[in-house]
Amino acid sequence: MFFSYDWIKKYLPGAPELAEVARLLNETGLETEVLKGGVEVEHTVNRPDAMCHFGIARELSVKTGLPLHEPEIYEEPFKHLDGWRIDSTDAVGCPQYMGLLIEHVAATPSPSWLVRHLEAIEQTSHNLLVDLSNFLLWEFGHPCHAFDADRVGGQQIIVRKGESGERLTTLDGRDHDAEGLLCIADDTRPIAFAGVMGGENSEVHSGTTRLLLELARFDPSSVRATGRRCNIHSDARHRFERGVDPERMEQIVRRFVQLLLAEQPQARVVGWMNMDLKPFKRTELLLRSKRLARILGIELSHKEVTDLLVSMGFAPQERDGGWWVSCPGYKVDVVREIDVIEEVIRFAGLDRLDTSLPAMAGSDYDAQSIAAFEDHLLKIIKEMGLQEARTYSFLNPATEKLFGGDADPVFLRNPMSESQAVMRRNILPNLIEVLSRNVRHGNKNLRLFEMGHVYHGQIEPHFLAITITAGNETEGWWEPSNHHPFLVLKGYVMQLFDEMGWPEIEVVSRPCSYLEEEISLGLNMGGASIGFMGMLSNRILGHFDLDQPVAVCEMDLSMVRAQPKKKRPFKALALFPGIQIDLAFVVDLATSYADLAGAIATANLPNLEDVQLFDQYVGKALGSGKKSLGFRFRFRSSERTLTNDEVMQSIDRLVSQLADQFGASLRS
Amino acid sequence: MDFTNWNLEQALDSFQQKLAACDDHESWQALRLSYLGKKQGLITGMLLAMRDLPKERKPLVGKQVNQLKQAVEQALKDSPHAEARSLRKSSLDVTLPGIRPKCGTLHPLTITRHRLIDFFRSYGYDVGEGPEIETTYYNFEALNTPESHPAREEADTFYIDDDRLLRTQTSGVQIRYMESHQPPLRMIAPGKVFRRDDDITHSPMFHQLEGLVVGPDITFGHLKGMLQAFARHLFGPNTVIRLRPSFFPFTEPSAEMDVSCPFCESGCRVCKQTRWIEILGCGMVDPNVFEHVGYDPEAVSGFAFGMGIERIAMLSLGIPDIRLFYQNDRRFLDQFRGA
Repeated sequence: MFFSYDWIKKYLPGAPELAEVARLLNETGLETEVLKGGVEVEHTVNRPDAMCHFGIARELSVKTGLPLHEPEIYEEPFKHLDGWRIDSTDAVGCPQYMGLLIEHVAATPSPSWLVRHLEAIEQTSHNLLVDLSNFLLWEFGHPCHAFDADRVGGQQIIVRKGESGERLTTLDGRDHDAEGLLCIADDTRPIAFAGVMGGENSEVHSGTTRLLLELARFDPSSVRATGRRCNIHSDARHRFERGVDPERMEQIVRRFVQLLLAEQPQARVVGWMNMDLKPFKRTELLLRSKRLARILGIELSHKEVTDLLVSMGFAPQERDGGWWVSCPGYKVDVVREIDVIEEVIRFAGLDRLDTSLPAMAGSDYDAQSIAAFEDHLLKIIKEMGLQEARTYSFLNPATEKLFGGDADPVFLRNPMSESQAVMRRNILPNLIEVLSRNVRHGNKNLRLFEMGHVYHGQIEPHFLAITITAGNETEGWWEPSNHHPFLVLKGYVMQLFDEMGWPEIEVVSRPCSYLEEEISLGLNMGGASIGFMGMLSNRILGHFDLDQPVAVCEMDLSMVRAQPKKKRPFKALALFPGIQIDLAFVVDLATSYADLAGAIATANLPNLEDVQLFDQYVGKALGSGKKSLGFRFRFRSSERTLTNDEVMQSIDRLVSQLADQFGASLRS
Repeated sequence: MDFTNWNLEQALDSFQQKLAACDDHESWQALRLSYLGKKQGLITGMLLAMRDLPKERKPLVGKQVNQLKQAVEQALKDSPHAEARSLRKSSLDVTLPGIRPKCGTLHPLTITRHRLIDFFRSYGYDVGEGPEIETTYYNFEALNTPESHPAREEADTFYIDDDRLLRTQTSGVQIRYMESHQPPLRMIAPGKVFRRDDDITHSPMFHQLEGLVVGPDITFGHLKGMLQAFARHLFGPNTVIRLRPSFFPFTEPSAEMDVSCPFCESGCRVCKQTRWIEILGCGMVDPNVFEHVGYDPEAVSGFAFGMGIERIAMLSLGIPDIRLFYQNDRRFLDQFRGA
């Protein structure tokens, strides 16, 4: 909101220069920037009192101690307005309504001072009657409205909810259904939306001679409801939603008359109606000096506090170990002791506070928190060589459906766009989107992961997703990277479980809607399914415009975390030398690694310490339909040095067993 | 070879002179070959020639040749030129790039989050977690923001239905924490939050870190002291902080904290020539909030603060556009090693 420096000075003749004004306002909590001829202020919602020039001047006056100059007003007593009726069916929506009737007015052009003031804040001049109410809005921040009194039917002002079928065309030319909205009505129809905007049907026009000035209090929620439904963002709504000063209303009416008569001396005040269903009463409370010091951590001098309270209008009385204050109407959200404390320190200055650290007794500290768990996990995954990504928690419903499964996902009622309309049940879709975008930008060898909440109805499990592309290009000069991405992924998953000390994981064949049929595996832990890994199906690759194979994995960390950690008994270091033997078995292509490894494990070779696959080979030398799997066996006894003979006996037994079982022969 | 005029001392002298003339590994190598080389080596030749010697001379000459061989071998071994000085002249090209282990990367938001959490953990703050789909109660009512409050319109909230929404702040975690813990307590709640906003500095999803300290005598000065220590942890020991009064529904009094611009001495683009950068919002916990969780506001007081992790990351890592965080371009992710 822009405020003219010259205009502010009308109420604070000794105001410091513009830059200083801005600095002072910033110090009191109004975010202010200097612009040409004035200041731009960004108000927090609790500061309707500073949404006008007088309010800005008042703020500066309290801060600087400079005297505040009250503008002149019309002093003659108002007569009661006979022949008019005012009524309200909603004391909450409209607790107070002032209506002042003035005759012999004319919608003449405004005088130059008024035009100048309005133009200084980029408001357009219309005519004197309209301009004056606009001027008052910017002087005191309390919106008023001028009706053409001859267009108010039946000389009646009724504040009521719009009825079924009633409509109102507002001053901006838009037509609205008025049903259920708080209206100002005459004897037959709505003529304004209370606190939001007037209607065309009662608007002041060039022929207006009798004017009914409205100054009222409206309930913020009622004003918000109307504004929201009609989608009207008016200056009036903006202020009524935040609150107006109930103590200055009559003064504003009198100010209007004063300014009007100065231009149109022939105008005559006929009288006014003041319906006050809920008279404003100041909140009285005790500000305890001990409490003040306890919250702030510093002691302000008694005199300083008293002076501040006086200048803010709290009318303090010193007793009961503090100050009894009555909270002025313009401070709309100051109704408690803590609010008064805020007002005091706001003007005393936050730079006065000490900087000390609290000496505190210990408090709860969960060393096993989810955060600690996830930080540990992040560290390990990063060490393994994966790159962390962060994607949105929402995505477009069509993509979500490809991954989510049958039940309904959680939809947003008011998404910013269709591409962000549904909450994710899997991390993968958005992560694959990231992968795809990276591929389009020419980035290669992508090994991405993401961790975070997913949304399953009422619960939010923490998931981990990993995506890996095949690297057709070597990453460094020393190594080819022609591993199948699935095996790279599987290696990461297995290593992760080892590093985290998680219990054994079981990998089983399990179909999954987004995975290629033959490479679709389920991950089980403690008998429960915790996730999937495999290769993305062609349908999904096509959906994301990907032209290369992608290995993915997604698992439910909440389920993993719920499992007890794997026991890790200490193993004594063997004292005796071991014997290492490499053997390559030639088998049919259809025989899997797991077939051979399983047979080796169940053969129970004595003293077999470890066995590892060290080579897989397929080539002409073996003949078609054959492959060779090379295993490295290490034998060791904890009690003695083994002899070659006994180890070879075991090996011979194994070789003949594998020959029987799989037709395996030793590769020569 | 004729051994008639040969004697050991001369042979040794001659070798020592040649050895002394060696000034690098190449000449040493040539000398070694000329004595011990398998084809043309002098001593090798002698040993071969011994076969033709008369039987009676063999023992003496053989002994002397062996002495020569041992002496030559020893002297060659002891020579300073016995080893190549420059690795470049060996078969290994040490200028090849080293074989680097494949390290992954953490997202810059995680890196920043860790920097923040590290600070607060060192002061004994617990770390809280909570749901991202919140009830209106925990996001608003319990935080002193009833339906009628104007702040509720401004929050620009994503709603699921009338009762559930995407949390607009992590403060709900603090409420849940207070419901299940008794003061004194200190905790932080880092996490995702959502607001309907999307431009170069706003993202519909972003991350916050909020903190809460409650105890019998917590003051505004403690808040300021804590924040000053925090600002210095983040931006260096000479950082100065400034508090400006502000408004949040759940704190009273409320303030915004600025830090002295860590990037300039006299105004720059980042601080918009003001020398100050706005970092976070804070304040003393509003008594209404305590009442909602069953604490007695006369018995305890507390402070709370909250900041956007993206904002801190953008400032400290020099990232110009918030959207980069969520595009996850590998060229972006690769940039923050060592950050």
